[in-house]
Amino acid sequence: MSSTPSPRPDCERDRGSLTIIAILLTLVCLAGGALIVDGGRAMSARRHAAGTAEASARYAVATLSLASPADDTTIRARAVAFAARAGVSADDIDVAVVDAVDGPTVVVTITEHPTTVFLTLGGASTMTIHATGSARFVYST
Amino acid sequence: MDTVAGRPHAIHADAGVITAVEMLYLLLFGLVALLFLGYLGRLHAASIQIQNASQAAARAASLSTDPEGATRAVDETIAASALGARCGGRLSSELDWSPSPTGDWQGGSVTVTISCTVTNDSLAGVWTPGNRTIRASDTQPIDRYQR
Repeated sequence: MSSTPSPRPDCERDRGSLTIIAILLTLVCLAGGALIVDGGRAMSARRHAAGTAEASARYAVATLSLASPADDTTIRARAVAFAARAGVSADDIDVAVVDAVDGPTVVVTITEHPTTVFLTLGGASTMTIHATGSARFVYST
Repeated sequence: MDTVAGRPHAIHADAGVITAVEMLYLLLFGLVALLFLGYLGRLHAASIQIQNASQAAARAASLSTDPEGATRAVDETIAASALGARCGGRLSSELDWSPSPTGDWQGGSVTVTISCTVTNDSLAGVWTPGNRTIRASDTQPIDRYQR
């Protein structure tokens, strides 16, 4: 024989709903914080990597001249030396020299690993950011 | 007189009242969280602004013909930026340069570091004690053929 459940008062039905709302609100706050802080750190690191890559490529090219054309190894060494002065380790820089008829183009790719603040909660303690910059040797009279 | 007979009616009338009070606390928590997120956003915007200024200053310095000119160029670049208002007078810059392999200014590299102290008031939008110091630096190759 089935029995009809007795109706619960309104205050009983509300019980526990605030916990769910509080959890959702906390999650939204953490997500917002992650977006602002970690997203900002990623953007900042990407900007720094791009600026350093462009400057490294420019530095490597600026030391060239028609009288003293450098070989690829020297160009790479110069780009790496400049990046090191900007705080990038040699393991995080990749230099490619593309030879062309009108002179070499130096392409520098820099990788940065900024630490995270909020994403650490999800297990990602660092991010990996890549940025590329290039410079071409141009000679004009 | 509301005695025993009135109690079930009173409980029924209270339905949702406790939740409403708790919702008020939740709303306060939400507002504080919103202010905190705004603070983080403005802090990030300030650091980007200082990073931009350091890059512009380093680039200006790299186009100078000597270290003295570079120092002047850095000062002029910072004065032309909006950092004066942002930092409230607590703004400083350092210039450091590495010579070229031949020991000259031309062909070397220059690093400009800008330090700016921002009040928490201006970041949070409401009264907040204390301040934060933001530092940013940028390195640029010095133009080899600048005369």
